[in-house]
Amino acid sequence: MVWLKVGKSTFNKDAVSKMSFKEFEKLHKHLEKVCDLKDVYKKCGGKVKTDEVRETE
Amino acid sequence: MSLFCECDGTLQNTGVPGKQAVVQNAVKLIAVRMYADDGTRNQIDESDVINQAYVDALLQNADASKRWFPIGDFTNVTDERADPATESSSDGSNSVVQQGVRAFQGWLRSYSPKYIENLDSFKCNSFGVYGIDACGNLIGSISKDGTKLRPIRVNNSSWYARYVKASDTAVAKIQLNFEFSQLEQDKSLRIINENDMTAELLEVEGLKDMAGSVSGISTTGFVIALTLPWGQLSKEDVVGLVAADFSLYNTTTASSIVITTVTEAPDGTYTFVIPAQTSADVLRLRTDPTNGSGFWIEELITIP
Repeated sequence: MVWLKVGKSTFNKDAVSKMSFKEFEKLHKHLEKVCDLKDVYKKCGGKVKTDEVRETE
Repeated sequence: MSLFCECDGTLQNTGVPGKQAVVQNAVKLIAVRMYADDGTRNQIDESDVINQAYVDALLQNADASKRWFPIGDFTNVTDERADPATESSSDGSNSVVQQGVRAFQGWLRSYSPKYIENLDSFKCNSFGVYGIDACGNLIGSISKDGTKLRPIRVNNSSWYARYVKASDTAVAKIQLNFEFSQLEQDKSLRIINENDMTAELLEVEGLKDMAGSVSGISTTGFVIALTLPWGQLSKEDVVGLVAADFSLYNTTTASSIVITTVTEAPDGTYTFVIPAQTSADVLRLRTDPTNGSGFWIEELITIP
């Protein structure tokens, strides 16, 4: 399992990359003020689309 | 225990080698179940390489029935076998009929009274102890075939820890008393010499229990505050744990759950984000001791 550490949060890169950004953002509302969710999502391998729907690979 | 198990008339030779392994009092004990839940014996094979990885794996074993539980360091240790029971004959001579009981007493100085709860938990199990002496040698009981070193069996019903409060002339301490099982004979005591191991047995520590308070449970997460409950009403937060220190399991569906995120904020409070779970499912959160955090918790969480 590969983890991304940002501040006091650890993200499961594989799990995050498999969800849409919209879903990721909804689940991590408690972190909105402490980290850049879009940046974290991208670092986990997620692909942010303009319409926030993740393109399936 | 009869002392005449092998009275077949054969005398054993009495020469001794130049260097003999002697057994000293233990400064640390390692308590371990005699048998694991899967029926296997907990023992050290003569072929085992006792390095730090070997010892750490036993100290951090997620299966408590196989785990090593270090206790110590002890001071003021007495470990003595009482005089044997004898039968007197009419001519005044005595015959030894039973070995005396070997009893252990030791002090754990400046320990919290909370620790007695941890020690008392051993009373209900069949267990033994390895001893670690001041030189770092490991003391145990040799198997009949001479290839295994086993824990020395304890009479668990004799196991008793009492708290001695601090006074004007003495520090607080826990005094631990117990008897070794009468099934153990001193002639079976053996040591693994400190020079034959690279593990630092004198430095070993057991897992530290945490207390958890769960809140904010939803189908996609929960919050748990982790503290160390060691004798004070105000508890100490456990800080610095990360997602990899935990494992999560759905006991209802018998399946592991891959944790998405763990965030510590404030200190000691951990917010978990997880894949959506079904209402009424029961999740089991544990620390993963093999990751070396040194802490242990097992918490059941019911999804609302």
